[in-house]
Amino acid sequence: MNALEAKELVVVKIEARHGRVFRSGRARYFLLRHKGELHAVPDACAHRGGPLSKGSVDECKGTVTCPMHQLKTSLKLLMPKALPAVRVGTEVRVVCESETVD
Amino acid sequence: MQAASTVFPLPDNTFARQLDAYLSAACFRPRPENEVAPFGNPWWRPIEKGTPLTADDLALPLAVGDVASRKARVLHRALYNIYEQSLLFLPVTATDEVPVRAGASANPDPMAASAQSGSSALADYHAFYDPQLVALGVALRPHLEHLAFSALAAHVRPTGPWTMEAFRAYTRSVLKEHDTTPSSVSEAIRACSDPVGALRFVAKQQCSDALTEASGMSRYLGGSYGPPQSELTKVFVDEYGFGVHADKHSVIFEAFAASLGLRTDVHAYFHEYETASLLSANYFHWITTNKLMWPRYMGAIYFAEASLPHVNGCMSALVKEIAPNAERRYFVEHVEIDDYHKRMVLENVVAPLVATHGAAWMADILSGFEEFRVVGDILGDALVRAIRQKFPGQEDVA
Repeated sequence: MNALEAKELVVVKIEARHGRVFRSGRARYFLLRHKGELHAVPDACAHRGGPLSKGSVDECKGTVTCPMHQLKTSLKLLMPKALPAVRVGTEVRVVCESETVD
Repeated sequence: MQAASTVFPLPDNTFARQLDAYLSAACFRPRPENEVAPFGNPWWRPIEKGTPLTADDLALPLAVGDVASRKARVLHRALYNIYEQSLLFLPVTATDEVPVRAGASANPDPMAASAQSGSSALADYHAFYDPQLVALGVALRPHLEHLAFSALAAHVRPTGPWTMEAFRAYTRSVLKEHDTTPSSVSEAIRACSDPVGALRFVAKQQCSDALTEASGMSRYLGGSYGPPQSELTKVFVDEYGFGVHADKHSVIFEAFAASLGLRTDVHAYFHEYETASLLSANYFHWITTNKLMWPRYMGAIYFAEASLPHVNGCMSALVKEIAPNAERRYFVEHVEIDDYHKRMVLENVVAPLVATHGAAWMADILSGFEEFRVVGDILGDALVRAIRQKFPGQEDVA
């Protein structure tokens, strides 16, 4: 199911840099750079919700390691949960749930 | 899917030499005796020779927003001519008489038309459409497009799973921001030392596209792709005035230009076109000439139709304020009709095709939407800079 299905949508503008954290509704997201592109993915490890934005990305293996317990999350699992976004130069606009708090 | 021009790299200096050969065609060579474009000669498009661009110059793409360098000037002029060699510009007359059209006789423009024999214009007509020159341009085009647009394509990167609902929310947000932002060009005209002169300058820039009825946008009317093709055709039926020549948008633009004392023959101001004006026209030529870029076109035409009511509303108010006797119908018409076109493109072209072909096209549609917005910003910034330079106001002098 798409992360935004049946939700009221708003668009937020944020700086285009890896690790930039923002909220969509009540959930935390962050911009993850992978293969040169910035993806707006959930900032919560599936294990105990650790901040993946502070983890390390392994481009070759396609994983991000959570700083809490060093568990690796496959980017293939994260990408389907990404929010629709467009980078234009140094700025990214992300389609989020309403009541987003930047 | 990120469709882009296929690039055919040519070895050594071959590309540079062939580009120089293309630009050396008689119809592209400057003529000292014609500092001003002769009347009724849209085929003579002088490009300053200068030092030919080298293989090194032609190895690296233009940076996004580079509309000031000589390289950008040459590349966009070359591309513009290559694209327009597939458009028809007929001689106004087959005789040796110098053609005269509306807007010429009472021309107070210091750039008054110079005399040129009709036979010389016809020589340019034949040179411009020479099959060998056309073929050379077609061969050069993919690499020129790579140089001109690849940085722009990298500048705009959609990611994530897109749906039509997210697309609507996104574009609604961008357009709301656009429509609540005052036109920087209108403000620069108001603030400069000669607002009417600056308006005439901007009108000359618009001639690069308006007098040819934005032909680059209409290349997708051919072919066969079902009901959306007919829906898109309706937009162009409006643009072409339902076949009533006097109502064709390029014709009502001519009335505006003539009311400012400008010439209305096509490309009379070719030598005055800013590179940014040609970038804007070339962008649509690029995405319509290369058919794999059709999804980008849907995004770009949607942004164009959706943003033009605000742009033309600003222009209409400006013209009424600083040149009350000028003909404003062109702008008033677009404020009204493009509001319809915005909905027609979104609901009758974009949405049905996304429903049929899936969300895989959404990234390219968004690229087109945002790329043309970026191109519009580059054009706006370039015009503001030029206005401040040509007609400095008190703030610019200080």
